[in-house]
Amino acid sequence: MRSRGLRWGGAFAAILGSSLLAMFALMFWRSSHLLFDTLDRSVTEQVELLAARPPDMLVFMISSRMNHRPAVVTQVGLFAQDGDVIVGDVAAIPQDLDLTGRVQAVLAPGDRSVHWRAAGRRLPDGRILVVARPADEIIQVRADLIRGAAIGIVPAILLSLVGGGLVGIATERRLRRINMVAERVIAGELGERLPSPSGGDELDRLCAIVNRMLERFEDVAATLQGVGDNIAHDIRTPLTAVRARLERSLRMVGPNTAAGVSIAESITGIDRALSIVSALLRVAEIRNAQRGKAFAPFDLGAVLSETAETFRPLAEEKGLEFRCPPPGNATVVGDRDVLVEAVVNLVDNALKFTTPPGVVGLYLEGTAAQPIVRVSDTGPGIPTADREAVFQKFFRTDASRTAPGSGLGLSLVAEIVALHRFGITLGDERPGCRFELLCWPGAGGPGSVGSNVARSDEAHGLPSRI
Amino acid sequence: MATILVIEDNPETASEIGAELTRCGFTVGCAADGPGGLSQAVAGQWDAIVLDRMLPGLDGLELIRQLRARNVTVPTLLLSALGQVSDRITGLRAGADDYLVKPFALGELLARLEVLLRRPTGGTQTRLHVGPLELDLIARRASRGSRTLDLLAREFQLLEYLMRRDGMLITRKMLLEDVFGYKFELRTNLVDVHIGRLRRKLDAPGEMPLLLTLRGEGFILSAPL
Repeated sequence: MRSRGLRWGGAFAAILGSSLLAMFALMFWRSSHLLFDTLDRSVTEQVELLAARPPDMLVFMISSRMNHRPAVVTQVGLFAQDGDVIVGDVAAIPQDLDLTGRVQAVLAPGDRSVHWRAAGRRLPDGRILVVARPADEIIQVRADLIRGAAIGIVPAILLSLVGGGLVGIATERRLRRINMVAERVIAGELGERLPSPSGGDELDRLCAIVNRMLERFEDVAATLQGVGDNIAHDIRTPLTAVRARLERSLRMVGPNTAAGVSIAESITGIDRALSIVSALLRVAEIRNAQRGKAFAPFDLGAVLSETAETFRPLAEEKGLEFRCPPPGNATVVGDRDVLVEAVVNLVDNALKFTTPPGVVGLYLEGTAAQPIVRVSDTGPGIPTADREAVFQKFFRTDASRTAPGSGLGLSLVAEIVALHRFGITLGDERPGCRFELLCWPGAGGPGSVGSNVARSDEAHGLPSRI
Repeated sequence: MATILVIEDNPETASEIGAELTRCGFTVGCAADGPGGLSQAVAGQWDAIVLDRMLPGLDGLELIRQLRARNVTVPTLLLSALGQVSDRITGLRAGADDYLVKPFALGELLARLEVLLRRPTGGTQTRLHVGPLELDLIARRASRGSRTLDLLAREFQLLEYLMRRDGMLITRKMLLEDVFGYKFELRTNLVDVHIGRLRRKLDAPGEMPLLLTLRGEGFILSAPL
């Protein structure tokens, strides 16, 4: 995360540095070109001028020029065919100087530390004319330019590195705050708001917009909640009155009359309808519950022991064997009551679908950090094709259609798992089926439980027992 | 006979409850909205109040809060069409003594009212007695006369719950909620299985039965007369 600041700084410095360098290169190239051009042109002019003079006047012109204008910076030399100096202040023909009249960069023949711009030309009579001007000043100016640029550009790049880094870190921190709030909103805390100081930058304005959106969502969620409550109330209240009237009628006619039997059946029918309404409302309640609201650490092992204690007599009464080896401790963070409901639903389900002589098992497996509750049975099992669907509302396998129940138990379990961001897998026990609750946050992957549901038992192997 | 105030805005439900309570010998008063209920609750001498959670004018929860603020300690039974666990908790926190989700069986309502009116006994005692039964809460020992009862932990809890409410009708729902801690609906014969096992240990062949089942209603633990 800290590297974000570095990356920002680096990018800043790279952009600023390269633009500064490009600007400097252009300036450097233009100015040195201009300076050399002026110098070169004066050298060319001198060569042209002198070469155009009558040959017999050259010696005089050069020597008088030297005598009369000693301050002039242009140096001129006239040499014999063999290179011996005839007149002038150029001591010898510079090495590497071709005699085409083109201006070249050469080193002064006497003092090789002096840079010249020079041109040489062989005259029609065979003598050699050399004109030179020292270029040291220009070279000095160029060196100064480079030094100045170094003094200017390097600190600028360093500053932009630091500045960019700071901006990057500050932005990163803001983004992280926004992320945290967004996570909480996703978790169901619709009351959360992004930090958005008024009159800020684009990001602040975006935050303000998102906040307005969240307010709207919160309103809608509250309205929906109200609608759900009203439906519950509107269905339950009249049915309560009907049920009470039936109950009183039953008392009046007595349970053993024909009317009494029929009334008792009506009451059972109402109860069944209402239990479905209740289960649906319960599924909705869990789905809309605020994650983390009733969360606290508790021992999953104790939940298993208590559940085993409660359900073992039921299994024995039914002629089934109930296996629950003493579970170890495994602390998980969650809503204990609701997770008990999930475990109880799975165990109840297993008991319901297993016929004697069968076995229902309840095990705590996995590791202390990633505990797994396994509920297995030797019942008919669930066909592979149906494994995704069993977590959907009202789904019932063909085998289970005759058993009592609302068909909502497993979708309730799925909602409870999703509320905790736990995972659930459904495997084959050959014969029978095996549910595993993966009791750690994130076990179900980023999506809903669905992504993890049909994973086969071979995929993750059987973890060692705690 | 005890007097009960019923505050319920749905006229059908109110009349059914009123009729059943009257049939059972209670003296019943009625109110159809929150403010009216509050003034009746404060003015009269009631042994218990049955009230709806959602009332016009004044919410049932708020009504209980105002009663408690005026030091009216009459036991209250809150009826609600909101069956959600969180609602139950808010209801009990607001000062309701019990909470019943609509729709309920009238028998359930009566049983709970009886328990509310009589309040559990032996709050701080470490030994409970019902007829020949003795329960030592410290030593975790149960006996009937000279016979020691070998009870599992759940059976012990069940027996303690029943002994503290001896002579009262205890419903399956009450046991599911209070002994097993299951606030959710569970359509199994869980309670019957546990009660059956407890009964087999409690009432040996030839002994006077102490734990009775009222078909379709619940269970009563009582000393033989």
